Amino acid sequence: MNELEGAKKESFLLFRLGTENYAVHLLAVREVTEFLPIKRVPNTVKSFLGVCNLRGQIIGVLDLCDRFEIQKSESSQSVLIVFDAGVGCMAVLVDEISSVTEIQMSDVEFQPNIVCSMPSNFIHGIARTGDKLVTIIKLQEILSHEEIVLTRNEVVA
Amino acid sequence: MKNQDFLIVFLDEATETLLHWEQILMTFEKEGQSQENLNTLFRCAHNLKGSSASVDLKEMAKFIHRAEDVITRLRDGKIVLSPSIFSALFSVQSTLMSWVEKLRADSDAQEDVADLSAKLQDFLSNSNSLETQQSPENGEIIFDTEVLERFKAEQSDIRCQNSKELKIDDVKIKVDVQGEALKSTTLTPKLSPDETIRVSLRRLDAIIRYVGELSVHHSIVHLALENGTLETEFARNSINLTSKVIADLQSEAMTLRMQPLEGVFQRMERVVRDVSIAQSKDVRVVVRGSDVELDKTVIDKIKDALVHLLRNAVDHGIESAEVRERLNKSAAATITIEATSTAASVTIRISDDGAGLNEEKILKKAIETGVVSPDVELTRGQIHQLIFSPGFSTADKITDISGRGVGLDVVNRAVRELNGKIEIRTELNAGTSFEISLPSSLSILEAVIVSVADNILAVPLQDIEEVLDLQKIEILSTSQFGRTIDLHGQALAVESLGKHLRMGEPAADLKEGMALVTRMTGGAMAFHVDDILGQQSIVVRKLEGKLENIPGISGGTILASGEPGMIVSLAPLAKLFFERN
Repeated sequence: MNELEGAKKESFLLFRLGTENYAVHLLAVREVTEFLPIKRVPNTVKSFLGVCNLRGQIIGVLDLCDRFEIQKSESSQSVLIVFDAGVGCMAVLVDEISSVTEIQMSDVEFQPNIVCSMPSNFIHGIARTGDKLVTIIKLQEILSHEEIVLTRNEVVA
Repeated sequence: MKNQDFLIVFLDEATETLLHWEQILMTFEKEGQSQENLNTLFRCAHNLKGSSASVDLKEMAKFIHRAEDVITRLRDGKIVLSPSIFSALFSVQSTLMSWVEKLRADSDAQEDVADLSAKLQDFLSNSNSLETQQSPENGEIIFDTEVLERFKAEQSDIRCQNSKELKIDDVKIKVDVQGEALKSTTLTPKLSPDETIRVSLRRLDAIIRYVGELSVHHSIVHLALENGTLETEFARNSINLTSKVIADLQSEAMTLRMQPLEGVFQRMERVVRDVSIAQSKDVRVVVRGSDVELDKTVIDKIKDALVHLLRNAVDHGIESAEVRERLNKSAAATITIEATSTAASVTIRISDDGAGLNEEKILKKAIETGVVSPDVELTRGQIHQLIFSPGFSTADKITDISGRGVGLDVVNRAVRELNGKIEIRTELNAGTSFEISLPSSLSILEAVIVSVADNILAVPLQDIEEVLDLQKIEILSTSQFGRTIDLHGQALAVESLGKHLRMGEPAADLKEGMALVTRMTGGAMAFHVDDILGQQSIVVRKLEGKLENIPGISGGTILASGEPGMIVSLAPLAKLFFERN
């Protein structure tokens, strides 16, 4: 991801999971949509909420809070961010969209030594915007590594 | 358009041209040669040469150029179409076809054409030597960089460009090709499988018309909504018309994937020709219904199986000339390839007037190889089905064409994968007929909508043999290992569909719900669901990415409520169940 490095400014979509602030590269986002009714899919893990009908397209929804064991905030607005995950679209459920912000790439700390709910291999870096510290995450990576099918011995909680 | 797209366009066009080439050669064989056919053949070769050179396939262009020289001479009456030239032209076609197929996977693919090319050269050298000298040095493809650039700039009109601008040979533009120009057409090695399909203009226009109509109605309704006049008859009328237009649009859009069987039938005809010549059998092919249409996916999955059936028919079905004479049959055998269609399915029948299946021999072989045990009584139909067992062959000797026993089970599997059926009718010494029924489309499905633990699922009707109301059925036993009911005097295991899909137990007690009976080769079983909500045609939506490989789920659909629903296939679930027990 060399294009992220350097002195130029890039746009990011900022969102909230619980009390933590996260950001994803805006170019990776296909669209943001309000919460849609979600239907569970058989034989899938609990953090995979199911599928929704996005204008006729069936799209899977992943609950990021549940996946990374983040306490959902009480004021959750439940918004879906839709990504093009390479082989088809996938949406993630987040608590709230904060804003779209430009971040100076030279301000991003790339190998941060911080404690956060996200495993470090999914973290791209940490940046400060205004008074907030945001964690830039590699959502594409999360989505492509996520295993949604239940293995044989797992049971639905 | 990128160079890669450019190559894909070329490959599609080349396939089409080569099919045409094949067709002409087959007409030659049936009706004898005509000037008109030779002209068409020349155009095929000429266009192909031009377009292959334009995508920098120099070796291919060189090869076609030589074939074109032969055709030119044939056309001008300078050489006579001898059987050896004729068969060489067939070989050129198949070689090019396989080359084109290789290029789809690897844009640097080469094909060994040295022998064939030398053969063509022989034909040329044998003809008037004066003439030969006049043609440009064989294989040296020269093209004007300006033409090439123009060609690249106007790719959208490739077909036209090929014939109008790239008359390389006729005009003989001799301009040195600059290395730069060639480099710019160098292609990236891997092609994306961006398939294309031919669509009739009539269909395309109909769809555009429907879409236009839709937007008119949409603006009427939109305006009515703003003016608060939604309740007027005018607005209502528009809303009603919208649903009609949508239904029309949908059925028209579905036909876009439909392709005539013509291409496959032609390939089948060619196989009969090649195999019968190789075995010196005299076979006549009758083709009916080549205009019948099937979903492209279905055609792609079934074509190899069909070709195989034909190969088998000529090799095993048709007797040698001596045998036919002894049996008082006409010297020329007939193979009929026929397609008929009904609303939901297409039937392809392949029949020959050959030897028929030798039931005795099949049964003997099956017992020898342990496919069936000697003490089982089989009906005639069951004996016929034995030829579909993996590795089964009654051929006394293995030939190049068939006899290794790897064929018919593949045919059977392909048909089954498409939810089709295959039936055999055979009479000793009178012939065999294979009848394959296939669903005409894979995108619309009749399904039973069921509820399981508060979830709504769609189960394809073809998976269900019977639906049982459990209230009216005698429950034989209920234990923690499983539950059994009595169905027409036979014990049948009932499993909870919710449990198999890990969605939780059904809300309804076994005594109250419904059961879907499914049958497969391993036996029958039933799945318990809470309720049956109805039966409807659903539009299958392919699930993408991560959703593709969920066990038991074969696709998705949007239910009448607008909510997404999952399509559950019972067969893989039943298979897992039988494997575990």
